[in-house]
Amino acid sequence: MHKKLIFYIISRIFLVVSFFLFLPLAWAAHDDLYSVETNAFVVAILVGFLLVAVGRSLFFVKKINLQAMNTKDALGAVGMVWIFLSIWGALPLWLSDVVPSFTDAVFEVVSGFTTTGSSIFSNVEILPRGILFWRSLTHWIGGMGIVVLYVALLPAFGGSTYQLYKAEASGISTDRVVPRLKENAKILWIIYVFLSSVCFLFLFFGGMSVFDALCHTFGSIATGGFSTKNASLGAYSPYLQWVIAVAMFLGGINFLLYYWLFLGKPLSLFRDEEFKAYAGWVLFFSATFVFVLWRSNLSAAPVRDAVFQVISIVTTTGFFTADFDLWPDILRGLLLFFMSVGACAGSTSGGLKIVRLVLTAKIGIQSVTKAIFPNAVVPVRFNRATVSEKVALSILTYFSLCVFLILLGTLLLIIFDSTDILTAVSSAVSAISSVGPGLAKTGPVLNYGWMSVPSKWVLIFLMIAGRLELYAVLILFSPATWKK
Amino acid sequence: MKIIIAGAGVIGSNLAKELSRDHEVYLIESDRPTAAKVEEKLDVKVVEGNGSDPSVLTSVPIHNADLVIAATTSDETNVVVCSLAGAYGAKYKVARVRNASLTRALERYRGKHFDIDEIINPEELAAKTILRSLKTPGAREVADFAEGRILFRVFNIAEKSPLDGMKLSSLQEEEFPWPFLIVAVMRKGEVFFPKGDTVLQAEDRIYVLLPVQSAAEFLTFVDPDVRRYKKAVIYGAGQIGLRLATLLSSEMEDILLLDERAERAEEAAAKLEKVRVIQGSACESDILKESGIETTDAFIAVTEEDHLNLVSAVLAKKMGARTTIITTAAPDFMTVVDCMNIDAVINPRFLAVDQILRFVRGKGISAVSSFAECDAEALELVPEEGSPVTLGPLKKIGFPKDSIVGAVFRNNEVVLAHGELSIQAGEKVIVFCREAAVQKIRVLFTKKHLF
Repeated sequence: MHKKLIFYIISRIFLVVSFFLFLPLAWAAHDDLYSVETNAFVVAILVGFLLVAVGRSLFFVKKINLQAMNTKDALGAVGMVWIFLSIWGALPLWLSDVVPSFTDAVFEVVSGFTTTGSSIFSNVEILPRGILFWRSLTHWIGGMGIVVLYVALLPAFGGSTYQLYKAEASGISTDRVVPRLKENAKILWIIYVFLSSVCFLFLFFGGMSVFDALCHTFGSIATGGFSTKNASLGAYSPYLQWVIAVAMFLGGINFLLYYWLFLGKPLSLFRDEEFKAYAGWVLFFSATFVFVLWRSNLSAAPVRDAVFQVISIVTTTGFFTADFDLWPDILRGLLLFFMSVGACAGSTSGGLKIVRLVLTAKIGIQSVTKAIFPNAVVPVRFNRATVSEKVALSILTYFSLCVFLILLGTLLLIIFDSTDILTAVSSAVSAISSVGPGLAKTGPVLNYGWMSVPSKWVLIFLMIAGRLELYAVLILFSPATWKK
Repeated sequence: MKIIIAGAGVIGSNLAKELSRDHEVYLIESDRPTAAKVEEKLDVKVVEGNGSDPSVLTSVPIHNADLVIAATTSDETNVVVCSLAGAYGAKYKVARVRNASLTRALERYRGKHFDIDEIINPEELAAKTILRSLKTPGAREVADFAEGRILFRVFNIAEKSPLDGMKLSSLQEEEFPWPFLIVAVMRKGEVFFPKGDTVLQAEDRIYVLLPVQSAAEFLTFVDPDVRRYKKAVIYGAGQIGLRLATLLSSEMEDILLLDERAERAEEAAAKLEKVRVIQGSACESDILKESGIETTDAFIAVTEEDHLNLVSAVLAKKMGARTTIITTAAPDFMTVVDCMNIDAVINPRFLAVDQILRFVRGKGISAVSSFAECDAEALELVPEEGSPVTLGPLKKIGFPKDSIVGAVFRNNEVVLAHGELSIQAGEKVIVFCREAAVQKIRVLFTKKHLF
């Protein structure tokens, strides 16, 4: 691994993210110019710029050959960027004494950047606005991806950009709508900003304050889940709940599909197999939930609650309008299943992604067919193209690695905190899929504050690994990565 | 510009790499593993499939493509790709065609039956480059500018050369009747732009600009033992070998052509009257002895197999051939060869890449030549009226750090650059610079437009 090169890339990325901190600083300064909180933000910004300066000077002292970057470096760089980002992002929370424990501060910020939305706070309504804003903004930064933003904004360095880009983008293939990655990244961010602006306007004119509308926009389009209210979206009007439901649904779609939509080819949306599966998935299960909730008389507004909750969990957002942990076991079981799957590849959501689930099912069917006709040639098709064995194998590997990590996480949580199995499993799944709330003791109205320090680090690891689709983080644990 | 390239071989992928910096590039490749590999390495959109298949071709924006380059291994596919592209509305079409008689037919019926704007034949380019290099004995790499009036040559300084230990400023003080300019020096693999106090050493590689009339004198200056080549042995009766033998037969007295395959040797013997053809491998010392290798001025190995070229050239040199030149297909071979005692390496596909880049870079740059093992290029530029470079003497103009103006071609006369020289619009200017500086140089030579 070229350590200097990686540090240089990290410092360049900090050049981008450091500017983001000025936004929460503005809120904090607006509320109280001389508060501890304002100072904490200033210190964090200075630390960010110090990193940039060190990286820059390193570049001038010893010329770094950016062309020397290989796959290992790119993956490692992205993994390291996220780790640096998490620790740095926790500074404002920790320094302002809003969160006295450093572990808790890192947990909260990682939960933000990975768009998880699981919190250690039992009462968010008493928090200073600067901190609340930063928490929600991390969703928005992490949702589309900081490396993608970096590729879009700063001068690229040729072919190796692809490796960086791929390490952060989600899904099985990094499709391009235009040949150059820089342009692709720009298109993605433009779409992202556009959708966010529209969502903000709908919320603002629906009666939310500017502050709440911004925070909830970040939480929904990025499929994050941090709210500024203890009751989450339950504290708002039905209209606002519907707006958020639609925003979350849009955040769960592959962003490249919007490009075709804006180019005036809306049909391409319905030609995409993954989108069709996603839409059908949400429709079918919403209907199931409506039916069960209506029959069991558990909700005053079964349609709204059911649709909202299904979308919120399928897109791995984690907003809630009702305490779904009180719902019947059939619904809780389904929710746990949705958590692990997630929405479309190339969206801001987490989890396995629908495309992997569909393909795993197809590979399963293929193997059954092959058992019946041993010599048959059975292609696995997706979007009218044959999926190669290599891709099929990588999907199955990914699948099994995820299962393994979930089991390991569950086990560790049980050991460290002697929790019940449901809490442990749902927390692990929720972390790796970046959902937020789990079930039982980590249910929607509860929080993660009670967990022990080692358990929190387990979840932090799962959140980052899940967001980066495992490899960028896992390679950091391989000795081969650190050898020259 | 929208550029579509068919075939991700050495030519296709190198072009894609160069062009993707400033243009939108789509690359079509039929081999799946190759396609996956280039997708990871290059910043282009890769489409899997055969370029001559209309359904594949229409999946890229062929209708408004500005340039289509067909560089697959098959001549026929390339012709079909270009013709189809023309039918769909692509503007400029370039095809790689290796078959000589097909090339002639295409040139003849171009526009009428075949919609191809430019035909590139790497083998033909290689033969011509070898010929040029043989005309300036000792040069490792060659490029010509201003229609062959300004020569760009790369030399290694030999132990006994008068240049060894010479200070550059003392070279400038001496009045040579035959002007030349050393624009760059490569020492231990690093290229740098020399200053007055730079002292040349043996084993340095120098990049020199020469007006064509000083070429002969300069050659004897660099290497006093140099004399005109009379005898050449060519190994490999393939496309390059045959073409080179034909070209050389009017230049030298004694030419031998070797090939171990009987039918090829017979074919060559039937075609070439003035050339002695010997059937046998140049990797065998007996055969080399038979061809009189110890009195040979130039041994040129141009078979399709890189390792045969390499081995035979080393052997020939050992047995007394004065200079050896080989062709290679593998890009990485260039560096390997540098450790061995071989005088010049030519990669036909790189020549094709350079040739194609020349049309594309078009605006302002009329010729470009890149060099092996160094990231520098020689450019021929024509300044526009009112461009920054025409606004004062050279020393007053802020050229990028990694660049040097070499020579100016005005009124049919070559003027070597110096600080007091002022450049006028419309003259041809040769600039040597690192790749990174190309864009900045280009800006200096074009007129500024506010919008």
